[in-house]
Amino acid sequence: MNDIVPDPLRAYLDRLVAAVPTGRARQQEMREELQAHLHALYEKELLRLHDERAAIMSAIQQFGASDDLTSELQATVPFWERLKFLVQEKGTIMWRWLLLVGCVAILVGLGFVFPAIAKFNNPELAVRSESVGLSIALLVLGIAVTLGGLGSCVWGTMLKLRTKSS
Amino acid sequence: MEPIHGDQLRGHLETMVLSTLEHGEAHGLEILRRLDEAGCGLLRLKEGSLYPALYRLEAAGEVAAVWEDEPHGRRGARRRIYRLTAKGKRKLGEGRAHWQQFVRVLGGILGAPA
Repeated sequence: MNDIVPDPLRAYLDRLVAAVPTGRARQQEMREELQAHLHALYEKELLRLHDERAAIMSAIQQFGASDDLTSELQATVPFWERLKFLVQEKGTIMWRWLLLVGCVAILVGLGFVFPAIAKFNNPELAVRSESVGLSIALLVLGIAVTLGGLGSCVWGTMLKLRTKSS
Repeated sequence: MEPIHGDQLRGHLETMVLSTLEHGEAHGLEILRRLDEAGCGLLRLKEGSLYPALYRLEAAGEVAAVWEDEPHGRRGARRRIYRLTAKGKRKLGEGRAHWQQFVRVLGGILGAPA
């Protein structure tokens, strides 16, 4: 794409695609396709009206309000693509959340693990079978939550490092 | 005759797009031209709203798209060429059947059978 597209059309296209929660490559493709159409519309209106400003306004009016179109474009992005965008493009905010959630999960997980271990070490409680079952369940849950928390912390740290290096 | 506006086409636009592609592959502008021609110039559609419909159809596998090889007089921006897939043809058949039922039922209610 080159620079001959009038500025108001360029700004309009930027507004249309900037808020679509998808990767930059997909945004760029979307923008190019919409630009091809919008520019053809503008050229047609320019031939009809012989006035650049009026042609721009008419082309935009025929193409649709940017807020409505942006909402419609946003709705076409599948859930997994939004998630990927959130992690990759919003990494600067995301890493804080991942670290926070990770730390909370580790504390909650250990809150299950330690009492379960304490029950195993208590000879009076260890002989009761229902107590043993509950302790094992709590131990497994605690380990899973703790590992999840650790994973979240590692992911957050990696995002932070990636954001810093880029 | 009164023009038909975009909000009245809600729920039908995708089937209409599939129908235009039955006549052969086309880019967005050509799809709109075909819609306009088939609608006798009475359709008042915001042109940009065609693309979300095309993206939904593409995500559903009902149309497939390729970029044209060379930009052609549109300031370097390429167009995407859409074609109907086998799934899209089936969907179009279902859409037509659904529409016929819709018209039959509403026509009966309104006392104006099709």
